[in-house]
Amino acid sequence: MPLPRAYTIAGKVLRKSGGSGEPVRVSDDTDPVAVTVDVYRILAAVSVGLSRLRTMYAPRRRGRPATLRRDPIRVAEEYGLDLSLLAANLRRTPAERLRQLDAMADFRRRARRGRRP
Amino acid sequence: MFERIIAALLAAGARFVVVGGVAATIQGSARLTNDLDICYDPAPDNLETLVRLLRGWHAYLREVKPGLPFTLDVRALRTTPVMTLTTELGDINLLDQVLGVGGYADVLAASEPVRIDAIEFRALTLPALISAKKATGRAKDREHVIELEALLALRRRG
Repeated sequence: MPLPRAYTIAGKVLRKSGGSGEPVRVSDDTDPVAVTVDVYRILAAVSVGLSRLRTMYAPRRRGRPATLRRDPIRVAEEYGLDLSLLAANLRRTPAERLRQLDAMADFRRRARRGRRP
Repeated sequence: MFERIIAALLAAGARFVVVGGVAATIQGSARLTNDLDICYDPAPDNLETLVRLLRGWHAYLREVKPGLPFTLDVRALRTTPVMTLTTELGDINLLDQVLGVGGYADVLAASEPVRIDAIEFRALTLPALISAKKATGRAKDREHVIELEALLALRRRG
């Protein structure tokens, strides 16, 4: 379909939908073809994309990643990570690790709720 | 919260693998996360199970104003690679694939069983988590990659 015609039909669809959740059926006067467009679903896809962008987006790393292989423990130490924390975590069982995270997430949620006026 | 969501997913018979921050915690990471990331089996029956559960938990999109158009059904899940939701039980991200690992079958192959009391589920392994974090190419994931690689080295040292 030529773009100008598709544009005209899209305009018709948006006018006809009027914010309703129902699919819109439009037909061209010059042609026996009819199109049904689910405007609400298209807008819902935009909402999903917006949520994803706001939740997950972070600037991308610039430059090439380092290819030189170094001892990861030394790299972590130099970066300033607390290795004793990792070693302590490794001594815990997966269940203990998950429950610790659960407790922290719960604490954070309650603290945020308490901060709200 | 996370344990409760995982248990509810399992009880409903959903097929999924825990990925992301919660999987990293299970593997020993010390970083905090607020949401549960799962990679799900895209088979129609599994999508139906997930949709039923999420509707029951009044799932809605995260970080957007209430009232925006949103449809949570099998078709929406099938056509959306990533859905970031907030529910009554907590925040959950649904992924149909994991960058750097692949689709559900690849993710399943790169996972290992985790047992917590009576429940058993699968979570991504450390090497797979490292691949996934590297593949995103996000600057903020660099520190996480350093941590995960150190964890892997510590674990191999025993």
